[in-house]
Amino acid sequence: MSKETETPQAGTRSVVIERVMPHPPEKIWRALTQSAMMAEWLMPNDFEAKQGHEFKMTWSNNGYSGVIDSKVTAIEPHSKLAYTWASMGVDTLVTFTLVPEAGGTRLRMEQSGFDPANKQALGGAMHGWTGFLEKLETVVGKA
Amino acid sequence: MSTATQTKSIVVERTMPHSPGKIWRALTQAPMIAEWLMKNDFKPEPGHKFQFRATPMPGWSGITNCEVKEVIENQRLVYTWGDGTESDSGLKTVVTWTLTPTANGTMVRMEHSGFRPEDENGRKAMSGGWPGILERLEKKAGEA
Repeated sequence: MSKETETPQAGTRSVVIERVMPHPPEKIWRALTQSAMMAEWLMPNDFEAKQGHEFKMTWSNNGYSGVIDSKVTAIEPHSKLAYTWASMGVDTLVTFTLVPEAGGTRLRMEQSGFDPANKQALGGAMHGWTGFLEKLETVVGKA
Repeated sequence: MSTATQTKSIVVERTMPHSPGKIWRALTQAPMIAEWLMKNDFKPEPGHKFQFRATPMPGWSGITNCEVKEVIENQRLVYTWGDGTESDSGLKTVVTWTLTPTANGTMVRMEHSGFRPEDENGRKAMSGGWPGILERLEKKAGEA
């Protein structure tokens, strides 16, 4: 069980979403760290589960498109994964924490480092991650 | 040096075994549009401003601001798609629907125009998306 948590920089905001999934941590970990599975619930990417690995994620929707530049900053198998998330001038950190529970796993996702004034980014992250984590649960369930 | 920008389009044509009137209803009734395309507050009135809503992504609110430009019942529908304000990319495109009766149904032509060179990734993705959207449109028009 991971006790360490990323402390957001002073004056910044985080989006935190927790979801209990009826799956063991190992199974969720695979979906969080295998590139092809990430593409199914998050975005196409060239992720590798290695500390310091730099990768890109790309998205497009309705004719809009973008790239997210990321770097793996923490990797503790089956318990914690963190990567930076830089896109459109907003630099944040995404941290996943997995904690086993009776009947499954509590998954916590925190995206930290938002400028409190950037309401659009915060609202978008909350809405966006809610959708991503729903898809993640579906992908884990199929695996 | 010229400042003119070369833009690209996506064109998808599909012959559907339905009357233009049936397809027109699916193209212009908000609850039906929500089923084959996206949530929206469309009205078939020139000048009406409406939005399509999708999942937000970094740098994009998930909203596409649109405005109805032309409405010729059962024949032609034009609306803008993106007003340049929703994302840093400044996407401003136009969607034109043209319905032409055929012996057994209707030829539906969708043209999505105005993609600038910097919109190329989005254009490619939409090129892959529109054929499936027209397939859903055909299905929904048939259920109506």
